[in-house]
Amino acid sequence: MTSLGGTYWCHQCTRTVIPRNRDELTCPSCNDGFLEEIDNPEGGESNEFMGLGGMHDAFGFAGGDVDLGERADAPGGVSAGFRRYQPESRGMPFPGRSGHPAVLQLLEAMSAVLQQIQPTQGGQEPGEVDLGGGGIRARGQGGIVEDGTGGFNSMLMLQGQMQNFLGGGGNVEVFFDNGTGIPRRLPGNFGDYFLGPGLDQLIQQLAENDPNRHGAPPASKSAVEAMPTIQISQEHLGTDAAQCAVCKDEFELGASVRQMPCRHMYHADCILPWLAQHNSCPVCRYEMPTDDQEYNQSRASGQSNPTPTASTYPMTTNPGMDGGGRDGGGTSGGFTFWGSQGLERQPSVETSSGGSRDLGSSAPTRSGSGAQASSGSAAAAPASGGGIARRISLHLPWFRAATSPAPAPAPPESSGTGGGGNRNQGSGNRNNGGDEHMEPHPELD
Amino acid sequence: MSSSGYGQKEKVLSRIAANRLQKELTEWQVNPPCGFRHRVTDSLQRWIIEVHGAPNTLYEGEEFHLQVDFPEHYPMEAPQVVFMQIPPLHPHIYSNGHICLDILYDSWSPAMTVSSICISILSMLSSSTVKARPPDDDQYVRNCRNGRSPKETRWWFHDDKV
Repeated sequence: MTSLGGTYWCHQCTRTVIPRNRDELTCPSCNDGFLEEIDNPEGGESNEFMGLGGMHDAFGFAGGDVDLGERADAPGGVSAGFRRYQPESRGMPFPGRSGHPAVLQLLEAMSAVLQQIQPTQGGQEPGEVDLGGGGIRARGQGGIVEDGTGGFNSMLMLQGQMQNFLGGGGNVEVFFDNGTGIPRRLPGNFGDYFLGPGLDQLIQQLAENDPNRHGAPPASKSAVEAMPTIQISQEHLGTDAAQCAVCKDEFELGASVRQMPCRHMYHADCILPWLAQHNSCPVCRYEMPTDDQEYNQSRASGQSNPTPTASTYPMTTNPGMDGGGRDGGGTSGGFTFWGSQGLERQPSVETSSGGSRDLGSSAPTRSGSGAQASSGSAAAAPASGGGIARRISLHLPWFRAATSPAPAPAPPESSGTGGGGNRNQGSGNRNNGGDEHMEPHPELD
Repeated sequence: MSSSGYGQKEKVLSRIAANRLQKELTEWQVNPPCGFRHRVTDSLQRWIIEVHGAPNTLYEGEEFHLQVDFPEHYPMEAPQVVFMQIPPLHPHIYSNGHICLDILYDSWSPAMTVSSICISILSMLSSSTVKARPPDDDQYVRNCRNGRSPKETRWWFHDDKV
C-alpha cells in the first residue's frame, strides 16, 4: 500500500533508498525487502483509516473488556495478538523476580484508551506501522482469505500510540485495508496471516541472532579490563576457588586467571565472553558496571523499590499497564504480533525515556492496583501524549510469497540487526533492541 | 510435538561446549542428582533425562522426561529444556512442555549445570501445591504452534513460591 514514492530505509544496506518499483517494495541496490519507511508526507492517506469510528469497528470493541486470545476464535473477531512489552526485564538477574502478564492487561487498557480518546481524536499523534505492503495473504486453516476484490490487496496497519507506550500505557491497533480505505476485520485466524517460510526465517533470525536478548547487559569494557589477573597460588588450591565455574576445570598452580570484584576467579577465556554479554558474575551474580545508562538508572531506581515479592495475578487485573509509566519508566514500547508465528517488530522508537527500566520488581508491588491501574494509565496516556509520532512501514514481500508458488525470499541477513537495530547504535540505545526481540509470553500464575 | 525439533538449527557444539558437556556427563555418572536418570544416547548435544517425582509431593511415583538441547555456545547460552509428553501438571509448566523457570532464560548463568537445572526443576515440582496448568496454557500453546522454542518466549517471572 501506501506511501508510494516515499523514502525508505533499507536495513540491509543501512541507507536511505527510493524503491524502484511501487508494487514490490524492494531496495534498488540489494533487492532486499526489509525497508522501513522513513518519511511519509502523504500521511493523511493512511490516517483515514484511523478514524476512531473505524478503530472501534475494526476491533469490534465497545466495552472495556478485551480478550483477544478468546476473540481469536470468535467469528468476526480480530484474532490478533497485541501486547505491550514489559518495559524491560533484563535487569532482573535474580531468581524469583517478578513480572506480570501483559497481554490481557494491554488489551484492557487499550480498549480503555480507545474509549478515552474517542472524543478527542485530534489529540492523538499516532505512530503507525504498516506491514505487508500490498499483499498479505493468508493460508492455512483451509484457505485463502476471502477478499472482496479477489486480490486481497490488503494492508496491515498497526497504529501504535507510542506516547502511550512510552508513558506506560499502550495500545496497538491492527487494521487490514483492502484498498478501499475501509478498515476491515480480519477474517479467520490472524495468526495464519503470517505463515510462510520466509517469515519463519525472519523470526528465527530476529530471535537467534541475538544471544544477548536475555538477561543483563554486557559489562563495561573498562570494568572488564580493570579486573586483575591473578596467579593461582598454593592457597587457592583445595578451596572452592580452585575451580573455574564456567569450564569446570581445576585451576593449575601458577595459572593466570581473572578476578572479578566479587573475588570470583575464572579463566580469561571463560569469563570474558560472558562479560561481553552480561555483566553478572556467573557464581554470585555480582553486577559489574555497564555502559548501559538506562540499565544503570533502572538499577538505581530499582533498588529503591520494594523487594519483589511473589504475587499472583488474576488474568483480569491489569498491572502491566502501569509497569513502565508509574516507575518513571519511559521505556521502549513494542509491537508484537503473535500469531502462530509470533511475528513481532519493534520499530525503532526514539524513547525520550526518563529512564528507569522496569526491573520487574515494580509490577508485583502494585499487584493490587490492577483495575485502577488500567483505567488510570489509560486515561493519563492520551492526555500526556504530546509526543512521538512515528510511522513505519515494513514491507515484507514474503507475506505475499506465502501463497505464491515461488519460494519466499530468504530474509535479509540484516533482519536481525534491523529488528534490533537500535542496539547497534551503541549501548545507550541497546534497550530498544533488547526489548524488541522477545516474544510473548507472559507467564501467568 | 514438543519433544522434537523446535525448528532449531542444529549447530555443532563448540569445542568448549563439548568439553564442558563431557565433563558434566562424567560428573553426572559419578554423582547423579537424586531423582534423575540420564538416558544414554549417542548424542552429547541432546540429553534425555528421566525425572522421578519426589516422595511426599504431588508428583510422587510419577515419571517425566526432560529433553535438554545444548546450543553451540553452551554454557554461555542456556540449554533449551522442555518436558517431553506428558509434562507434569504444574502451574508453571505448559502442556507443550515449556517450563517457566527463570534460570532457563534470563537468569541463566554459565556456572549452572544440567544437574543444577534438574534440581531446580524438581524443587519447582516439589513445592507445588496444586496440580494445574498455567491459566494461560491454551493461549500460550496455541501461539507456540509450529514448534517454537521456549527460549524465544519472553517470560515473565513473578512467582518464587513454586
